[in-house]
Amino acid sequence: MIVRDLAPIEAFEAARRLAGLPGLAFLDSAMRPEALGVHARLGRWSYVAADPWAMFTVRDGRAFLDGEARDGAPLDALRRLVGREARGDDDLPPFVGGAIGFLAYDFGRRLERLDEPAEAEPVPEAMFGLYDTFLAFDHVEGRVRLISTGRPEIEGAARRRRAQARADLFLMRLDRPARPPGTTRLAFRPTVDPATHEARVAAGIEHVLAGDVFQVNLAQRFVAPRPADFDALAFHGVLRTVNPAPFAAFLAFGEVEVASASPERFLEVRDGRIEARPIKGTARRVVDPAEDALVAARLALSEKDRAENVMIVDLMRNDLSRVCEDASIDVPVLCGIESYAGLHHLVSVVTGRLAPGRDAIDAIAAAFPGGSITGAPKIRAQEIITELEGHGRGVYCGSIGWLGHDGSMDLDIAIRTVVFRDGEATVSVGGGITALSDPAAEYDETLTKAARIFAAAGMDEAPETIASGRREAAA
Amino acid sequence: MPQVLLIAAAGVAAYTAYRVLRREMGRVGERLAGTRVPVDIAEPKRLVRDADGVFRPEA
Repeated sequence: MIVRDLAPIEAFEAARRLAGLPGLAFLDSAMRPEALGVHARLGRWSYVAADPWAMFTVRDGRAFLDGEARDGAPLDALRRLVGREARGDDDLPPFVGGAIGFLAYDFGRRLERLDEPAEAEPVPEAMFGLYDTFLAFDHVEGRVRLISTGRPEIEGAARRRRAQARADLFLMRLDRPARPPGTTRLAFRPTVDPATHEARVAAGIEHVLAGDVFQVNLAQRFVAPRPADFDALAFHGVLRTVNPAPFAAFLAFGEVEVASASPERFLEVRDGRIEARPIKGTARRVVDPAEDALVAARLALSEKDRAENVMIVDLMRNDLSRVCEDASIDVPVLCGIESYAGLHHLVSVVTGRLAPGRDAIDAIAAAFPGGSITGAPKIRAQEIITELEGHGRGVYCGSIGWLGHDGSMDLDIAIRTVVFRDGEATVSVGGGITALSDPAAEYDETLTKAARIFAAAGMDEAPETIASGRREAAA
Repeated sequence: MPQVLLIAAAGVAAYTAYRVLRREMGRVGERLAGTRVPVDIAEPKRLVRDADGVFRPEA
């Protein structure tokens, strides 16, 4: 493995310079330096990887590697590809090479028997690039390192030669200027009217009152046509500025591109320790600091938001207990406040220790998709989501992140995420519905959550000549 | 004889519970059937930024 310290370069600029390579993956802890005091641990690392040695894809429950079908269940195939080897050096960043990509929400149908939605989502159920060369940015120490592992070569000399050649390629690309950015404007439109979303929320409340679920997460979707000269990476550059987030990401996987400003960790596995950070409870921030503090305090004391959060904490404790040692599950933070650019969130932390013989892939199988974006009980909540939303969710509410060769993993919950595919940009926003929900307030909460994405799309001055988004198929 | 009475009583109780459960399932099913959501086919409106920074459908 080659590890080389580089002269300081901004992570986004590095991503722009490597954008000409296929399979760009930018895991972007896009917190501003002054915010690191609050989010020091979450926002410490960013990674820029490109030109994977293979692409792992899941379609209709079948795994493919560079288009060739792989035997076995998709997660088993992914486990075999990522493998397991010792880190070798304690000074390395958490990610030491492996898979970077996403699991779509709809991959959850491969883990439980669930109905298919009326309108299937064309995005693959999972896409991961297998990366041997990447840049690691340590925002705390201010270090930038180029790491080249030499994978997929196994044998010593061949692996060293490949590692060197790949490191040289990256250094050469980093020396070149990035291409000029294209347009970043999008004109999003809702796919349903407010009354329809509110009717869905009312239906969700009925399911709660009928005893089907304690909570169900319902979302609405916005769509924009993608202009011919649109530059998704440049859009991510704007998004990370107006809405910096510790789990932001940009993926350019050919048929699909993803720009995300997620504040939420789904699961981290490191040294056998597992952590989930479910978010449930949101309040819009205000300009005046005193009033803003009051908004945060009100959120921390809100009966509805605390109830939502605790329900999901219970669900996560249950999910993690399936792969963790007995009595190792802990909740070190219950309903803590985390503040981001436009929103305060109520965040809990659930931790555990993986049981002997269990690994990160087992944790995905036990807990995916994250309970904070389904509701509880999870399976019934997923059924209701499919029934009421009427379509697949695709990348939205899935997970973006990495699985490392050393058995570590860090996946987020893919919310505040824009997906580009087939000449369209799509963004969905939702919220947890409980017996205490008010449909109109829930509708407004979805708009609040989308506000920064719409701002990043330059919608204040979005040209009206762009055609409106497509309408949703009748449920 | 006491055993027969006990079994008969248990049977009546089980049948009664079954009937009550069936009735309740029907009631909940009927109630949820009324929650099917019609999709409003009106053209979705343009989003306009409000004073609070949130984009809402224009009036």
